[in-house]
Amino acid sequence: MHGPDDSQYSIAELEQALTGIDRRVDPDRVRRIERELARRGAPPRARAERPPVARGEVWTERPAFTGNGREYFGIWIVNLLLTVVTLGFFLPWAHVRSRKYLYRHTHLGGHSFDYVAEPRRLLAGYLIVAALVGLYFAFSYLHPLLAFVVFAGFGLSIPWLLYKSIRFFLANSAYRNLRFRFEGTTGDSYIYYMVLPPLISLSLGLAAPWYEKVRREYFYDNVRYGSLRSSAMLDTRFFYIVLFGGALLVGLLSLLVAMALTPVSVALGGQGGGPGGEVQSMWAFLPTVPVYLLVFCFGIFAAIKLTDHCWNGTRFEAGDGDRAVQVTLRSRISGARYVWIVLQNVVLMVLTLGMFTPFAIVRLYRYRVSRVEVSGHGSLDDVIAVAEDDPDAVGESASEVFDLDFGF
Amino acid sequence: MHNLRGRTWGTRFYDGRSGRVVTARLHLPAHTPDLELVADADASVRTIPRGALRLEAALGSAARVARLDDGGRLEFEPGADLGPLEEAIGPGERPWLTRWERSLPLAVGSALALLLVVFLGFRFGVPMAAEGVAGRLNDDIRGALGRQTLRTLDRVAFEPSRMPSAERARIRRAFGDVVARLGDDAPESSLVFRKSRIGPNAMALPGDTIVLTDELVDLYDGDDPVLAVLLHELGHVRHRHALRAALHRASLTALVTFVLGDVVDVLSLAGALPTMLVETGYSRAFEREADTYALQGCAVSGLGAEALVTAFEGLLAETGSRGRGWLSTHPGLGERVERARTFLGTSSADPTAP
Repeated sequence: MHGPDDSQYSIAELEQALTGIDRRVDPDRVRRIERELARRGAPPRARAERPPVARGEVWTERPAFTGNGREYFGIWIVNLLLTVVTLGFFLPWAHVRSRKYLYRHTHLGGHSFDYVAEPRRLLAGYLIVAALVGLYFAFSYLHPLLAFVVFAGFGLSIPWLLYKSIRFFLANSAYRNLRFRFEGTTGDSYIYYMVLPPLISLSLGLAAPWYEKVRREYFYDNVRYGSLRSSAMLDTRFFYIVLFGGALLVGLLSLLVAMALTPVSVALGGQGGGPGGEVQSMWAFLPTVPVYLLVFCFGIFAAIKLTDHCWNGTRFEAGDGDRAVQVTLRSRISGARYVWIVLQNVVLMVLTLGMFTPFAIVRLYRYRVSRVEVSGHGSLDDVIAVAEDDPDAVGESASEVFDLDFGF
Repeated sequence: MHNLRGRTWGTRFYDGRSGRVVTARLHLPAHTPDLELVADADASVRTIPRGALRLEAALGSAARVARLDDGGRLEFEPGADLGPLEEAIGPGERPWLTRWERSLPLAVGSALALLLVVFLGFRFGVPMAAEGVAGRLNDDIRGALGRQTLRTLDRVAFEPSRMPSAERARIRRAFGDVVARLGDDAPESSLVFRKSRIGPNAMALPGDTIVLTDELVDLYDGDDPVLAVLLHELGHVRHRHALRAALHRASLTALVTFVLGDVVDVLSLAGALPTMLVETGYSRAFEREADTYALQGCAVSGLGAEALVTAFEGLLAETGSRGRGWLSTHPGLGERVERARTFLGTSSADPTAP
């Protein structure tokens, strides 16, 4: 450990210390104290009372999405057809095109976002992964030991692949022709995705919400745009409330529903297993349907709420003195509304044999964008000007090839 | 040649280094090879060789974008007519793709074509490819596959057979006689005996191995139904069903995961169902094919098709399975008995039938 052990100080002392430290001189120290405060659950109000780190006008922008389902449908269906006809080789081009469509129609402060990935690089990554998977399946039929070697090799490289994927995703997301970047390290990725997960099972899952929090911090703490650096202050309690509280509620509800429906299903002829272990009637599955639905809805709800929380707890800062800037995001997604949109989408997609999918994607995306607010100290032009000062801000190579969409 | 007098477009220029935006006018002179970018603020001019500017494909109603070799980005006003520029520096990547995406009839046509391609692919493409590959794999690979499969099954479903060796020898001999009577056409196969933990069963593995469980033998009074079941398995061997099923599964998984990933992503719960339905559909087709082979084999070898009917009825009594239709890997046993009876009827009415 470096620096003083913050856990020995009281909350009041830490807050006092925080006001005395210049964030620009010792950002790590400030970050550690803020972490400690968040860990102890200091009321957010107390933290918000810190003197503003940047002067200048306060501005707020709301992003706008100008795309529509009809246009996206054309792109989506052509993508899908070409992908099927080319046996998957068009996939990288399809991926880039559809993401480009969404980004280019998303505007913030009069400028659009852009996705600038090179499909050929993506293809290389896809082919490598496909070859590994193919190798694994071939070996699993022919030579289990070799299959295990491939499997283990793949498993060992997952944190690295994740790290590469996040880098790829950010390095190819651009705003005002300036790419985002990822500053996390491979080492941290191995800690979060290889060292910690087994420990979670040792804790009998009790540490799972905590793990979810630090895992997400790996991303939200390491985003960079120009000279703007992100820092995440997430609330561990929030993760416990959403994940454990929610799971408990869903468990109780499921139990009630299953108890209420079991007599119905028995009456309708679903007696469960026959002598050969065979189910006598589809009615035996009746009680599992609403339970499955509940779990599905809860999964969506928890995921969006946690993501929402992460963006709200993330702040971008750069510069010093008069040119210091700070940018924060406010995302106010209603969990119930979000789940309702997803459910409607699923029903419509099933009824249309999947043809509603592009409309569903646009609806959900538009809703998410419409709930976001970006605000900051210092004008947006200051942010850009600050970015200009930083020679490292450019030239982050787009040499990454992996984009595996691990859910960021 | 209608751009003799040159053309000018309002653009926003991002240099890619600062994130700053400069409004500028892009000028395409009529008589010089280079383009000119004139900043609105100070009228400073930047010369861009034609080859250094690349138009990107239009997407929806978003502003058109052109990229400079040095990382700069030009954004045109939405709806600007870029015809002359496209003529001068090329229309950008795959302009036909944009036309296709924007046309409603073509989009609807694409949707129909997609459904047709997917249907034809499932109906004919996957089975044909699987058959082709299964026919080309050499004996070593098929043997290795078979051994590996049997090893796995021994771990999860089977124990060593408890049947007296005399009885095993008798069945082996009887089956050998039946196969000999099928003629030169009959495939090679090796018969192994196991005790089952999953009830009476017999199965054909890749590599031409047939597994017969003690429980199945105990199910019947005589050997004839057992031999009929073995003929059914020999049908699987004859048509390389085990291998083809494995290949179906692999290609379906690949297809659903990689190609339809976009659809299935949002629908993860519904995603498994189509795969399962299609897969079990193939499997039922295989069972019917094997039944047909067994029925013909029964007739040719003199075993009589009744043996297969007896075999099915025995299984029916044991498992109590009614026709379960399309979620099942096997056709309903009732349906199979019917088919066998129909076959029995036609073959007794027409003794020359196979």
